[in-house]
Amino acid sequence: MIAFGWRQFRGQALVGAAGLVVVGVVLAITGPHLVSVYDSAVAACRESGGQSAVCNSNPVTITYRGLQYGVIAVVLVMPALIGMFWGAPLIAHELETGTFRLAWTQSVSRTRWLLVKLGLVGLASFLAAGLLSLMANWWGSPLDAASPDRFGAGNFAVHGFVAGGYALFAFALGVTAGLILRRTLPAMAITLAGFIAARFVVTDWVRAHYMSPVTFTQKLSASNTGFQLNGPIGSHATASVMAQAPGLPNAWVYGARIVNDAGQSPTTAVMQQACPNLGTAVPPPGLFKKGGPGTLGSHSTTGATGGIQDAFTHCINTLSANYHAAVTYQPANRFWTFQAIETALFVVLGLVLAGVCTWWVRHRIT
Amino acid sequence: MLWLSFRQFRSQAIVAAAALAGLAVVVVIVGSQLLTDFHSTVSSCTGAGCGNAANDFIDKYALMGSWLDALVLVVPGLIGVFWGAPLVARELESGTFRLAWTQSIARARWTLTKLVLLGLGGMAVAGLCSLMVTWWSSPLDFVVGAGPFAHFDTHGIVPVAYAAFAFAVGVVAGAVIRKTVGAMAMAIVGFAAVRVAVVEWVRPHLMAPLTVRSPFTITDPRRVQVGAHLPAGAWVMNQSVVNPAGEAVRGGATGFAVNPLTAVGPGGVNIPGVGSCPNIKPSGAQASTVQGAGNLVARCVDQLHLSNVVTYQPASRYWPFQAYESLIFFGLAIAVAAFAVWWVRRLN
Repeated sequence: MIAFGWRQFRGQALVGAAGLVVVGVVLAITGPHLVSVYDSAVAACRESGGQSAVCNSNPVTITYRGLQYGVIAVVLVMPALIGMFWGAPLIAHELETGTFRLAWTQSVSRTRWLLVKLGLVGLASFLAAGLLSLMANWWGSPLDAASPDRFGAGNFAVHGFVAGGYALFAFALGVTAGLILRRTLPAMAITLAGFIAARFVVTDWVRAHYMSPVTFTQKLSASNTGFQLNGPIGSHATASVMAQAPGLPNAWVYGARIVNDAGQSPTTAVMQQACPNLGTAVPPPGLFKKGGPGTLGSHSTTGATGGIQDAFTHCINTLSANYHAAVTYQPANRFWTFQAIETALFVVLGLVLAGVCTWWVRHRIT
Repeated sequence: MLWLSFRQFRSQAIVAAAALAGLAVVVVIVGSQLLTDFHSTVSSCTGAGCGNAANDFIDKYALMGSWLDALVLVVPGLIGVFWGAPLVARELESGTFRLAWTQSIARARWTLTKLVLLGLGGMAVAGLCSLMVTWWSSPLDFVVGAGPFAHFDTHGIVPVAYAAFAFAVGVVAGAVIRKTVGAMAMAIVGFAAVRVAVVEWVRPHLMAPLTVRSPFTITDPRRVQVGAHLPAGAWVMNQSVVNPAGEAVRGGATGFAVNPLTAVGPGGVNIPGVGSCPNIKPSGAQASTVQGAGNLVARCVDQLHLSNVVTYQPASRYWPFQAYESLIFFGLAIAVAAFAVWWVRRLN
């Protein structure tokens, strides 16, 4: 039965393997150059005593941005393709063409027939996506070193082994859709839509709750805070202060808030008492303009004085007696735990779908 | 014939219409919230908190923006895979071509009608997606300020041309391979390969880039770097630092690294790979401090008359580029579709 399952899967397996080889060749050819660009920039930084421009932004990130996006896209799309092209036709094709009548009247029971197919192609799905992800991680390691953010919303899915879990789930989803709809084409469309929906829900709503985040407190200072003024500047603007999270490499920062020991944010009354002059001083040019060239450059640049800076420093010094910045984040060392949890989640979903398939084949198809 | 085409295409059309309606609901609901936020927190902002307001606005909507961009990016591919590939392949695979092609309508006309009808439908779907997403993200794009070229593939009119091409590729793959699933895989690969090739090797050459040359000066003696003054929203293609002979000096695109303590010696200032100034000699303890040696390096860099050279496409060329790339893909689509008609005629 295993040999027979392989025979039926051979064509698709070859296409998948050829795709992996093509990607692997591209990565193997360009990979060493990434390392050399990165290393020479690091050496140039060291040579200049930490003063060079390359110390702040390694040129490898700009040189390879285009290819990096391509690699990310391939890793993100691969599980969906596996679900559509390996999963959906697996049973639907037999049902559509009527060959299931022959297959299910052989000496092998139809449950066993299904389980062998699920196990064989499911394992291949997991391995193919895992291997692709592994190659991409090896290739992109200089890029990760240059901008350490593997916990970021987009990066998490293309690092580690979670892609294998996605692929297993997408495959099981494809098989289930094909079995229930009995038609390949609609099953492929449903697989794609269902996979994207599941990924979206988990990424945006579920992942943040795997473990409760860590909070650390930071004394307020003018360098780790900013403020926002609403209303007419220079007369009666209302001021609000906000904390800026420190740069934590590879961590997932949820946010930073200004709170007192009881966990409350400063009220308007507290603000007015601590920062009476913040809303009435005129800001100096460019203060807190950290959004880059695109930030609306409508800061008051005429008649600037240091007044607002003094008012702000005074404000923060007064507030820091009772308030501090609370930074909420997932530390970088939880990365593999999160990977394991998300992989397990998708593997379990895939197993549940496989169970549904087994039940459906035994009870609903005659 | 029109009626038959529509009947055969009905379920795919309903799926696409439902997806478009769903997208429209999401885009309108979130988009009106985005517009309200834009007007109340960002565009009306005049104070020192504008930077934070803009950052908060970007943080709030950037993730949604990237999902929508990804959607417009894949829609042409989906049209090629789900509309194009099965068009002929399904008839061949199920044997219904025997019936369809022995009716009063010539099979070339049969193919052409279907190609035009579904092709126009696919272009309309891609165009509506692009229009909705372009509208939705225009305040966000304005605040981010990366220029129009940052979303070249997902905004404007090019998605329409991509859809036409992807559809034609799908039809040809189906006619040649004669198997729906295989044709679908082939359509993805073919479409993606052509798209990548055009982005990488054709698009940069559609118009000769402009060059801006500005003197390379040092703002801080310990930090040798400079940013060229570019018009807003330009697509920067290449940056380099060149000497008066026009040769690029060693180092990165916008600057080069110097260790002042090793660059300055009794024989003057020598910056490896960049140039040397034998006339600038240190006096006293000047060469032994970073500050003193840095000042000498700065004088030497001034004396070398380096320039920062940037080649770029200005933001005003966005629509010409959109038009050229659309023409390329429409031309490819027509050629591929003509091949499909020819191939179907000689199938037996």
